[in-house]
Amino acid sequence: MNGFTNSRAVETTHAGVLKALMFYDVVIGLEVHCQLATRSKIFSASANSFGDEPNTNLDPTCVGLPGALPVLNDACVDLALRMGLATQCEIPHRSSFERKNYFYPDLPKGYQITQLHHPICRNGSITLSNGKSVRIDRIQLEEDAGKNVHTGNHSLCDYNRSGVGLIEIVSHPDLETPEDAADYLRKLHALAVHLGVSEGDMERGHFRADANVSLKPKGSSVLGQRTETKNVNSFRFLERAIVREIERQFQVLQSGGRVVMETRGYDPEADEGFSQRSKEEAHDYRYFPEPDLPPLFVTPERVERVRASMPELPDQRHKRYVSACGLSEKDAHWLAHTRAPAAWFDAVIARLPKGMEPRMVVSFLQSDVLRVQREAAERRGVAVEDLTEMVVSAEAALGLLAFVGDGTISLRMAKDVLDEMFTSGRAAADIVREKGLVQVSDEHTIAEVVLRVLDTHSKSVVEYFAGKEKMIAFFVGQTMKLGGGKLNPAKVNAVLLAELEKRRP
Amino acid sequence: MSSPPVSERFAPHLAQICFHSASSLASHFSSSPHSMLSYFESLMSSVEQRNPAVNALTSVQKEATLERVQRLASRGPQEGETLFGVPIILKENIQKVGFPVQCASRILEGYRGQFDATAVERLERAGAVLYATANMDEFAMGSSNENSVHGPVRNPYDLSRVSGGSSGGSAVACALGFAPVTLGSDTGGSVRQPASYCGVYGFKPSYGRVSRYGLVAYGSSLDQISPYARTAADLDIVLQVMAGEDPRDATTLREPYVSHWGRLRLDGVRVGIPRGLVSHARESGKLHPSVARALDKMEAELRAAGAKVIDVEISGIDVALPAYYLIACAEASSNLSRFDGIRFGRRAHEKNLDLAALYARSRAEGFGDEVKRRIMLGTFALSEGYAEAYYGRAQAAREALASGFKEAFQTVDVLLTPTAPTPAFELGRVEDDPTRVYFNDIFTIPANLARLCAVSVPAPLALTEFLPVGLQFCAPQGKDAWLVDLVRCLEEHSLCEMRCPPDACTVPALPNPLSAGGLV
Amino acid sequence: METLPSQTVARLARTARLELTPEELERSGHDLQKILAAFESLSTFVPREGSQGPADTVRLNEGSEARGTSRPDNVLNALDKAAFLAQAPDSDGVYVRVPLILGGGS
Repeated sequence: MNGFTNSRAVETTHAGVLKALMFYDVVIGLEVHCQLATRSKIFSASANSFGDEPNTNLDPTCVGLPGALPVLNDACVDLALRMGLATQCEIPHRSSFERKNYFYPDLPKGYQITQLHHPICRNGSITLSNGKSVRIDRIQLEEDAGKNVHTGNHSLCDYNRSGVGLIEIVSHPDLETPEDAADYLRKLHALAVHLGVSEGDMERGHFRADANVSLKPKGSSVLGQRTETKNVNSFRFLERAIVREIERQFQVLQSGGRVVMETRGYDPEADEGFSQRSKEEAHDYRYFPEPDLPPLFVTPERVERVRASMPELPDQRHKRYVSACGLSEKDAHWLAHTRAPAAWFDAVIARLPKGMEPRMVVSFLQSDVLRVQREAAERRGVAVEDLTEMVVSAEAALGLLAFVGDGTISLRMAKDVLDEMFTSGRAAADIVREKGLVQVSDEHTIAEVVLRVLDTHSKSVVEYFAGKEKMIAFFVGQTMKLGGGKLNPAKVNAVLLAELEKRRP
Repeated sequence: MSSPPVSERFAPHLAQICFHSASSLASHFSSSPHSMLSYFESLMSSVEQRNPAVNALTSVQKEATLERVQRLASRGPQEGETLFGVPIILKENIQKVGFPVQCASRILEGYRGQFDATAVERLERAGAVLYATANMDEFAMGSSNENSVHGPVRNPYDLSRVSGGSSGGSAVACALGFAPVTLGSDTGGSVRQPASYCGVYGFKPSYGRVSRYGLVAYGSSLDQISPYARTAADLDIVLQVMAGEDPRDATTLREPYVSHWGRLRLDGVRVGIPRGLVSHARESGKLHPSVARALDKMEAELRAAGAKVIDVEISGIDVALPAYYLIACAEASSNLSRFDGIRFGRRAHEKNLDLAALYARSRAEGFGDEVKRRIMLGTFALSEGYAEAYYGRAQAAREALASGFKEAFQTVDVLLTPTAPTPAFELGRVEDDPTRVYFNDIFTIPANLARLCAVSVPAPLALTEFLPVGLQFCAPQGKDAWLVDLVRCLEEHSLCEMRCPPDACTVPALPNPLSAGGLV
Repeated sequence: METLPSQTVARLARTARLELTPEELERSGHDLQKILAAFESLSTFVPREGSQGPADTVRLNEGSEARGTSRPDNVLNALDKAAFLAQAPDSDGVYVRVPLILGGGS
């Protein structure tokens, strides 16, 4: 029994899972290994760097030479604390390290330094997109192993990754569907990347998940036997792997069998899980306190220092956007959960030109700046999420928006200037000057256009005075069109209303 | 072999000239660096002649040493080089680049150091010349130095007897004047007990006092690099050089070693004797008469010098032995997992072994029996189902013992016991029962468990007694400099006796750099 | 103390990656038995009130509780690749080589 009930209904689109849900509750817990984005490793001063020549980022400690000793990297502690604070964890004053003993060529010392009894963070939570809350049991610091490559009759060992710092984030078995599990992983990933805790490159193995899955007969208070599917490094594969495992367990149970505890893997090409049960007995890890490392004491001062240095969390941003910037809830929520766009937005409103409001900036961002961003991504042949910088920088945008703020051009005209800026790479000021793009604010000129419109559509004028208020929009549209988009909209409105009054019967 | 006549066994006056202290050598070479080269040439050649009888050394690094000496001699001493030109020998479990660090094991055949231990770096920065490696028990496991792939080390006072272990080679090397200071490692008495068997000082610093970076780990929470010396002054200098916080060893103490030299008087020092422990050994017949006599004599002489000697009881000391072995072996079983024939050391030659079998074969072929025994014990102590009852209880007992010592040190300044229950025993003594061998460590292991500093000093003996006997003084963790000063007091009151092993008198002696004519 | 079953001794040897002959296993069992019997006093040991620290954490240094020891995030690749691989029993100059690991990666 997970002792924790979500009042929301359990929803999934996977047919096989739905079947199982008729008889069982699905219970999923995730253990996520997240590589820490520090310059050096967690207990060794050698470099934490992906893709270098094999065995070039080494020191005696990370290859387990006799006589070498571990020393804890402060930056790893701070990043773990960031993650803990962002997930509302408790930060115990004292945490400590253990040795987990087993033999494997990628584990040079024959043991991994990890945290068992006293991890650095405890008892946090993550809220899923559907509002459900998932409890985090612990966040623990540990070291990564080296890498093995297999060829022919040999396995080849590269120790560059050996000793790289990790946090392992362990959830309670609160997840109820494969979709929720994937969502949880996505949220955790986004948070880790947002905080700068991890670079989050799944291809490079920065973020790996192990899924513990079991089926509990409905109404029973006893959990079913779980299996562990290890080392999934894609959101999509995680969801599929869990679906397949639920289906498998369901089949086993329905045919009267017993689910056996085992370690499994997932083959994405076959869309099948497979057993990794070794021929030997389960490992006896013989955990004991790491004698080479004193306990870690985290003072309240350190916690505050980390908190102060953390990038703003999405929820905090959302609040700020609503209360200080006057954005709508919808816009605020969307923007708060972006990275580059939010940073761009903050940079722009920090030096907001006179006459502009944050709401206008958001609107400009959504309709024009991001459109340009998507075009740029397409041209480069990458996904728009992969662009870490805004193609139109805040600096460049400010140059453009200054002209809007002082009335030189309208927002409508700014769109054209933006496109020109993107294709030619030139600054707004040059384009505006060269094209003579100055919006017309002169009332006489505007009145001429307005009058022409009203004269052309005299029938609609009659309808307007008959009660069709909506005609205003039509008149405005026609005026703007006739004016080639260069007329100051606010002025058009004012002049239009004035001229209409003159014609009131 | 027949031993020399009693009257010739002791030549105390020779102690003054056969064996120069580190401080006198440093002082001499600082003013006459040109004399270093010929001294070292003679030293190494003399050592090579004398070593085979005792098998104390596993290598003499002639070329590298002469190069270093040449360089030191031509540039002369520099600021802070308090050990300028002093020859020092390393136990072969201490890392030095290019030196064999074989740990007396087959599994590390041919292994050469790939980095320098912090202690080595500091000694060299002080101008010392590390010139040879010393024999030991395999991976520091043993108390006789018979568990070595290089063969046993022999006691220079009686070649049919053991030197003690595990740092037997370094003890003998110091006793024979191969160097004024040698380094061993002490996990349960591995420096103090051989010091007692070989008649020199063996000083185990407080846990954390000297960096363990570069010391091949046996019991990580118990190990300390520990010096042998023949004068208290040398202990003081060497500890000043080696000790101190090391950013590469998170277990080092923050407080620096500040010399206490010359400040202590025996008058008023409170000495405690753990009576229960000593009586138990006496009554069970395990305490050799010469050891008992030495202890009684020391007690009387201390009183005569004005010290207060009182009985104390250390609560928890009864379970120190099992607690020590379970903790040491548990940690060792984990520390020795890295010896798998994968990245360094000896790999089994047989083809077509799968990975697990390769590991098991390499290790079975590479480790000696005592090492395997301790790995098995340690693995057991940590294994599922047994860890709580064995390792867990051992840790609890350890902390209880540490509290017991803390309490005792509220009423006394220092504790006095024999170092070992007997003098050196015969080589090849067959012991069916491993536990009886472990009893040898009964007086020394508590200091490792409680992280104290402790020193073995050679007791003055009657002319009828030939084999050295050591007495041990223990002080609280951190009081290393005070303890060294206590040794100085003992020297001044002639309460310890530095003797000269027989062979030093019968084979070509060391050149005497302090006399214009050369040899003595 | 209960007698150690021989499967236990065999399992310990496997866990410790020590290939022992049947004779060695038997001797090892005897040795262990003797040592553990000699350590019987530990099983009846009851620590005095308040004399131990937390059971699952080792107290390293007297009074060192308040001091953490850690290091700043500076890079130092202190081991040369060539020197490291030169001491490996089997290497191709780029990797350390071992017999094929069956069952894929860790």
